[in-house]
Amino acid sequence: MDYMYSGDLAIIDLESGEVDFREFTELDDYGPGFSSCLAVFKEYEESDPVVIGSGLFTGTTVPASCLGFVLAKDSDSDRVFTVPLNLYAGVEVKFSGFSAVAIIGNASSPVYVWLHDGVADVLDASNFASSDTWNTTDLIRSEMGDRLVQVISCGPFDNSHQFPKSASINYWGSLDPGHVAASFFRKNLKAVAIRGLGMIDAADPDAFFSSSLEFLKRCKPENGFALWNEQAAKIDEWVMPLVHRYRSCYGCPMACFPFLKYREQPSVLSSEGVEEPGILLTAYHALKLLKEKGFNPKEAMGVLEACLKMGLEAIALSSVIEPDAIKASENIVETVKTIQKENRIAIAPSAMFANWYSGEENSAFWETLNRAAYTLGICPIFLIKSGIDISEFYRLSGLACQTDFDQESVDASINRLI
Amino acid sequence: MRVKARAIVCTGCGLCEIACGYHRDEAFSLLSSSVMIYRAEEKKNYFAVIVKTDEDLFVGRPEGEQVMKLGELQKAGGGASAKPILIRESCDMCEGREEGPLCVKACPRNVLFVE
Repeated sequence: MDYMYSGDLAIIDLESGEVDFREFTELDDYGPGFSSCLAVFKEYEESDPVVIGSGLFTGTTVPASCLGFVLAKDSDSDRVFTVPLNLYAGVEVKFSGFSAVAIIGNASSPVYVWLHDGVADVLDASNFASSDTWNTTDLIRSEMGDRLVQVISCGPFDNSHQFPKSASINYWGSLDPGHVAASFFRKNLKAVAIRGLGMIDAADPDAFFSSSLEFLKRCKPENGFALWNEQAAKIDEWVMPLVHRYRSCYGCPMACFPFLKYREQPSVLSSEGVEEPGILLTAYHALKLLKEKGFNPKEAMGVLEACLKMGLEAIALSSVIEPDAIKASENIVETVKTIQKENRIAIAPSAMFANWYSGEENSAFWETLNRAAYTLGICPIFLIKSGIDISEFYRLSGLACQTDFDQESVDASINRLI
Repeated sequence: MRVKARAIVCTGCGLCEIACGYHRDEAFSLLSSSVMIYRAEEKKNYFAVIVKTDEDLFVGRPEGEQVMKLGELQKAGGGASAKPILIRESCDMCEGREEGPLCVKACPRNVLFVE
């Protein structure tokens, strides 16, 4: 594909430490985004691959074109599982100088992968393998001298695998129910760090640009989880006193994610003051459980922050923690660690795509929507809520890359592979 | 007349950057824009909007706006992530484009405006 992607497919073998590059011919054979990366996943299936990619429009002016993804083996079924890379992570993948990346094999000691400007390095992570996700992000950013590096990481390497872990995007939750983190642990892969200074071209740039801005004009900006569903709207109301500002992912007119300050006044706008004032809430499901159990919002934030730092799957942790444990705790992180060690929970059964909308994990609606979302690189929530029919987004594909895609052609490509 | 920003209503989507970059290169990149979302203090959810001109930087912070002469940002302690704005091209108000500055046009929250 001559447009919308730049760079080769990188194949990073953690066992040998070698990195190979080859033309990403799957883009032409299977189409952009999810299907071509699924083809790569299938090709390297025996080597327990982690495949990182982005959609056709990711990183452009198409609204909500934030979406990248990680494909990893579903720990339960051995099928492929997809975790979204939102916020700015997907965009950095697009500009990383690689059209896609496959990480195969297992390292003999903890490593991290550094992807930047068409260079892929496998670097030693032994000195921070036991670090939490926040320290890992800080350490890698400090080492690279760039605080915009996107870091997909897992929590401390502590050999306790009876509890679901969840990969983080920088400091925040990734919607990984456990499969990506489990892959990272199997591989001795502490983190993948990504920074892209690349550039992508459209086939008909002016028409593509102006059409995408027309789409933007049709969108009504909104804030909060109320965009997702009624249950989520109730969480919005519950945490409202702690809301500092709402945050959107790259390119999105809507701002789903509230930043909740619970260590300083939410109204404080300057960056001086508390170093870690709160958390960015990127999903509501665990919070709903904590609310039902009688936690107050501040206590719930403490639990979620501990989960984020320790790389624990928050829904699983929320299902076993009780308010009394937190009330009696002087150190929430230590309490959460103990609870993790005392409980054995399996990763929740998963369909092909992480579900962050309805909880209807296996719905045909969600699967079709996500096939489109991960092909185009557009957030699935936005595809539902924008009021713009998906077929209109597909019609931009000809302007983008001189090839017209639609749901039928995308389904046909994916169905060849599953 | 210049591009200014009401950073308090910004949600950090970055469309201004990519639209400005498009004006420069007719391609998509986060590198070449004259407007930049300062998002280096992610843990604090602190983000601001910076616009570079030939003479100065407009720094739209959530707590207020400020115009700084070139070089002051570094002296004020801006980190490595803040420095690239200083070596970028200056805003030319999207000279030659009838619709005016593309960053203003692309911003879905009306954060950016010309005044």
